[in-house]
Amino acid sequence: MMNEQDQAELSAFLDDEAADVARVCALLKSEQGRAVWARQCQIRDALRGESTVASDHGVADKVRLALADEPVVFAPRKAAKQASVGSPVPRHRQFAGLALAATVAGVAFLGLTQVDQGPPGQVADAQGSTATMTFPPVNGIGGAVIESDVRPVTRLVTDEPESLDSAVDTDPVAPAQP
Amino acid sequence: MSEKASDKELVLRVQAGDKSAFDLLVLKYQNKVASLVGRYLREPADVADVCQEAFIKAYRGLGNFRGDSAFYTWLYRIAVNAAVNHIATRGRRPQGTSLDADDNGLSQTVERLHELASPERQASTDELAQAIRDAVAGLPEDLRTAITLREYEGLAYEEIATVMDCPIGTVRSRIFRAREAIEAKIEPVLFASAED
Repeated sequence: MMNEQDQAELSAFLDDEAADVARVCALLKSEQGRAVWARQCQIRDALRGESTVASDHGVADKVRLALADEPVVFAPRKAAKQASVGSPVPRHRQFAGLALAATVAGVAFLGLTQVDQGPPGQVADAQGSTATMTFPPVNGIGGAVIESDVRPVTRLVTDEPESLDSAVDTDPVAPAQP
Repeated sequence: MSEKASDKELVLRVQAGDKSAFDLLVLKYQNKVASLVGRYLREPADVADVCQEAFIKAYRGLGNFRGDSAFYTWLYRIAVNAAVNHIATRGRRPQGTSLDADDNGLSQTVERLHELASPERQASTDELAQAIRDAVAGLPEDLRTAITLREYEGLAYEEIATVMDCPIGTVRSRIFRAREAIEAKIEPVLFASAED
């Protein structure tokens, strides 16, 4: 049960004049604290001639219900960014990154080796030169030799449509927008 | 506490994952936001809907709120944008209403919209205002002075303590008791307006 002093402290918090913020925060965690806070907000609004439409329509309750299933909000991204800039990457994470890079390079090397040694008709070389694909005849029918220019793959093609942002030319030296 | 420090405290709590702290901010600002939105929209139900939408958007955006501006300033812009979008969507823009959140002609718009307010709504508002005046007038001298200096003159507690020549704790107590007494007097009118 909140005493008069507690309620006076909540009233003062509404005016940014609370003496003990930690105590107020603790009081506001209870249902009774919320009820007192709601009442004092309403009386202050009435005194200041604010509209009563929101409280009449139970906006606070509706918002509370609507947000019940929302994920919780976390600290601003700026703080996280600053933290990552300010603190060095741990050594074990550096090694993990190196190991991952080495694995990717190894897989790429093996892949290229396979490409060079592959049977005719499968893949051309990836050096941007002319590639030859030979299709042997099957049961004496068909068979062809196709030559074409092959350029190295410079970008990954996916089924995803390009975003509007990516279609806009950006100046790499332009300052970042705030 | 410095100005708006309580908002900052509540915002930090929300950003630390305490959803109930946002509820306290909604309770604190719902009517102020409704007053603002009411300058753009006539129907109380629309005002309430837009207020709700604005608070939900604010909650979702709070993760990116860095506190460079005051919380209410930030919320103000969200609410105005929500009202403007509502008008654009419904195609119910009242003549002469600016769609610019930074419009300097807002006061003229408010006056026009007040003229459009329904007589019943105006009567209810007048009745509440009269009940508040009566309640304040009926307060003991010390409570009346404290609440008047705070709510109508906008003085800080420390300034009120100087004016009334009393400790700041006494000011805190007097303002609280004045609010309680006023609430007891105007409660029937408040409930009546909620039922309208």
